[in-house]
Amino acid sequence: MEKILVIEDNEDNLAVVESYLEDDYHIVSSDNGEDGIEMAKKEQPGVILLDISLPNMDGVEVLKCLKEDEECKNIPVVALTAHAMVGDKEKFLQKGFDEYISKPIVDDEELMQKIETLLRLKK
Amino acid sequence: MNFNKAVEIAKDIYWVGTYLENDPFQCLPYLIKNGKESILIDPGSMLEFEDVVRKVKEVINLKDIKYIILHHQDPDLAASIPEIEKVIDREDLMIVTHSRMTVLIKHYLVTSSYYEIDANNLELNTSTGLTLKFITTPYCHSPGAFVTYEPKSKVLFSGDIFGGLEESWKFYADENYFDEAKAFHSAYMPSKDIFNYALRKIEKLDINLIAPQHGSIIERRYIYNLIEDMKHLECGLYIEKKYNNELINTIQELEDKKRELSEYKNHLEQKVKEKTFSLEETNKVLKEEQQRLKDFNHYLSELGSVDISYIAHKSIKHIIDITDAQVGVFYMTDEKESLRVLAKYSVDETIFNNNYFSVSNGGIVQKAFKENKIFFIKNINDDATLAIDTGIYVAKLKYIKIIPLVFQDKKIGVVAIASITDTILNNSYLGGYINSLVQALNNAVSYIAIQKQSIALKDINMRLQEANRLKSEFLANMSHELRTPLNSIIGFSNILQKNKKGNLLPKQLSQLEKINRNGLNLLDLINNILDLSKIEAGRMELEITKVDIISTIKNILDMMTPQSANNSKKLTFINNLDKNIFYINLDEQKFKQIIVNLISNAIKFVEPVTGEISVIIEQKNNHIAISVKDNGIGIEKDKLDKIFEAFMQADGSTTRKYGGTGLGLAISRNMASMLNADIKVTSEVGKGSTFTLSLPLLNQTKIEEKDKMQEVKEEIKKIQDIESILIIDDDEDVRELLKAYLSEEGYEIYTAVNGEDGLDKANKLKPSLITLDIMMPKMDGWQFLSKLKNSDGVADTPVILISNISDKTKAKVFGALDCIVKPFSKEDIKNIFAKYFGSKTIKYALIVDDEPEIRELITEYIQNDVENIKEASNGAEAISLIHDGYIPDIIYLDLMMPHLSGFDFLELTKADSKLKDTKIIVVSAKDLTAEDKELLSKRDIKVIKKGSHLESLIKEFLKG
Repeated sequence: MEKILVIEDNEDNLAVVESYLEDDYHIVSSDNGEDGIEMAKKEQPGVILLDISLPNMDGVEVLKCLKEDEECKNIPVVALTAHAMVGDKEKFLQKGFDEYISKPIVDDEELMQKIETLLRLKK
Repeated sequence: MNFNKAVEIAKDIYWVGTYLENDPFQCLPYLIKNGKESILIDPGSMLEFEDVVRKVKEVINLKDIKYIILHHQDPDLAASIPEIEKVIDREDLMIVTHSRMTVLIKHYLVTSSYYEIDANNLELNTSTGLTLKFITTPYCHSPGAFVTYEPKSKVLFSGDIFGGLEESWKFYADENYFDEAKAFHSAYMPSKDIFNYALRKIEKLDINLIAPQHGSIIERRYIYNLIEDMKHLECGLYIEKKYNNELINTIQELEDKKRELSEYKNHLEQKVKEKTFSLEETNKVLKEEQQRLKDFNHYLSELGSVDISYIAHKSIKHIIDITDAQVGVFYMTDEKESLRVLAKYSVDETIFNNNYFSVSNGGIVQKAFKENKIFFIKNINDDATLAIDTGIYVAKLKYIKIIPLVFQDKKIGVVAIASITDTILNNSYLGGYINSLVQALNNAVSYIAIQKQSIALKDINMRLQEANRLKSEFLANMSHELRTPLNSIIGFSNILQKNKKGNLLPKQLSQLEKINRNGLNLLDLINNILDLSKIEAGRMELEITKVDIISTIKNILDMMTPQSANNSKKLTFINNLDKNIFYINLDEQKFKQIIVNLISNAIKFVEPVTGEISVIIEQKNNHIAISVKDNGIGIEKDKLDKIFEAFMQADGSTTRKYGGTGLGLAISRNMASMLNADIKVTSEVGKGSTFTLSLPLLNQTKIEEKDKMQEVKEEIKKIQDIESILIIDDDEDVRELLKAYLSEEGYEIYTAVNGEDGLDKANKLKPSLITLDIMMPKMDGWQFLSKLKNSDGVADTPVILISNISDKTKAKVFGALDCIVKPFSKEDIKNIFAKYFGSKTIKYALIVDDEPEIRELITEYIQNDVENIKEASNGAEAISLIHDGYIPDIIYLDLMMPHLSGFDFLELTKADSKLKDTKIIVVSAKDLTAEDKELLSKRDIKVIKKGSHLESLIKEFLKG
């Protein structure tokens, strides 16, 4: 089973993602950026789902650390965020996220499909 | 000798002129009889015309004259040529002459062809073996000299250096004639060199007879002695003796005049000397004045400031300088119209230490200011205390002048000056200076006011920007904070609905469905509110592209059919356009959003099973109307207007019953107006409603969007010249399929099997376009794209994604132009190419044919490749369309039409510069004659014969 790291500070929303994915993937999670980076290094997940509005270190900073890290730079990172104004998707893709999924997650199949594509691309 | 007849002077050579005894200046025409190629030489003036014709007729038939030689340059000697041309009436008649004569020939409208004989060694060879050789020399007459050779007698014609005598003209020359000839030429020849040059040329000829144009005919026995004698002539310009005296007189007169002028000159010089002295005096005065003006200009230049205090200090000093005063004070008004001292100046600085000039409340200064009047105070008596220390003695100030400063009724201040002498009372410069001063002051005052205003405006602007920023931030925050809890609501209700453990009751599932649906509604509401606030803030942007609205509507219906079929509601599409593809320039997303909104409204308001919704597209004048018609509950008349307002459904209870946010129509109407379109509604309660979106066909976009259109066009233009395409895909079948589709269009195709291979080939082959798969081993499409964008020279190559990814936003962020989703059809590829690279040069087509069936047929063939097609049923209609401003890129033209045929159309538009770039293709059933073909090919018009491979030919010509 592929490992997915979810970095999300909102417990309820973490639970939603876990519920969607737990049947198909092994989920590991962190509620803040700093721990999330450590966990990514240790666990080497196939994909990271990263919230943007996180305490202390926001998602964009976390992404920067991940992409600068030798061990983590090849792990695809998905922005999973409620920042969904016009132009947000472009903004996050430009910052280097490999995918963007807006909250609320309306279509769980799309979520799965995007994760699958990233996993296949990584191989 | 009988001169009434043609005189044969040598074998077959006739003199055909009019003989007038003692008139050496008449012309001597000759005729060389030479069968059908006879030659007429120097036919002479109109006076001789009849005589010449009569005499020629005695010898030959007039039609036998093929050459006429003209050698003289007198105008009247060419005058008879047009008449002779007429009587000879021969098409190949040729005039032989030298260049000076051609001007005259043209003047007399001679139509025969001619050639010039000024070139060296020119010969006229007749087909009978007769040769005429032209001997040209720089001497005035001799360019025309020419000689006949065997088989005719050797005669030199027009040898004018042997003729031209004033007296004793004899038909044949005798001994006596030559002495006169020599004397004549010694007087008239321009120079000995030129004369001898001509003689030497002639000396070399073997001739029997000289037939000069003017003068006697000279026989062989005299010729060589004559030439030898003439060589020794002293030549020079001849001036007649009788003019000598006149000349001497004239010179004498000129010398007298010169003397007179010289005397007059002396007289004038004396006068100038006298004047100069008084001028020097005046000059001195002027120089002083000039210095004053210079100073004055310098003063004025110092007033060019917006600092009032600076102006005050400078100006009070200026005024004292100008008026020769000693003391001055500058008062300025403040907002309360009271005066305060802004600047003081005195030649004796101690004066102000005694505080004489303090703020004056009331008094004469106030009076001058209030009444806008200049005050003088004169002859102040010696008891007055105001005095200045001059260093020699203490001088009392005796004169005071108080001047108000007023600019166009605006009272600015007052200047007071005081002086020992009365120089301040009248000064010619002061008035002008004060005028400039008040202007400068007014400018400074206005500048300060504007400055204040501008600061205030900047402040307001900043506050507005801040408010706007806060609003945007608020909306973004609101959106984020609402979405976060919604994620849990929608997510969990969705997961629970799946009932994975199978332990939920139907009622519970239905409740979960309600939670989920309401969560989704709430999300819609958020999106709609954001949309609406964007539109209202004018921040919604348009992205205009060429859209096939028919296929777009079909796609929407495909997407929405399940939604309606859910409740057995019928959704149908009616295309009333006579085309299956119809391109319009618009924002596809916004158009889709409007149509989706109208259809989902209709679905909402019709009953299950009996509910019917039809989407109708049709053309109405210059609009495309898309109507969504339902048989639902309908809307009451008085509520029709309100439904387009935000949060206004026809009935407050509808939200509860039918759902929806109440923003859909408001957003749709706003978006429609951005597209320059309109939404109208008709409805009948209980029967149904029809919402109609009208899109204008002309000027589809607003003027302010024009720049955007320009950009789109420019981008398209940039990538128009596609020659080669690189296909990157790891799937061989896909590569082959793409290759098959694209090579059909005539592009050179390269292929690569993965990103790495693709990058290599892109750098090496520099293709004009790349198609790219995403999922590939080694280097995937995204990695390929970011590497390509960092490669020099190929970074700008357009890339189209052909993959399983349908994410246009992501494609654009990574720098791709567009994406096509697998599996793709040939149509998909064609559409993308039409959008970005299509043969954009053909936009407007005009079909001119009287048969409607043919017009329809051609339209059918070309409509995919042409943006706009117009039809005309004859040439006249076509011309009026073009006249009205429809300038087609291509015209399909029938030849046989009533009113104005194709050929007439071509003739009438031949010179029309509007059509200079228009391609014309004749489509006709007419069998073309050779003439027709030549006419058409001259104008580079291609011809298609009706019936024969019409479709393929029309398509082929459209491209090439």
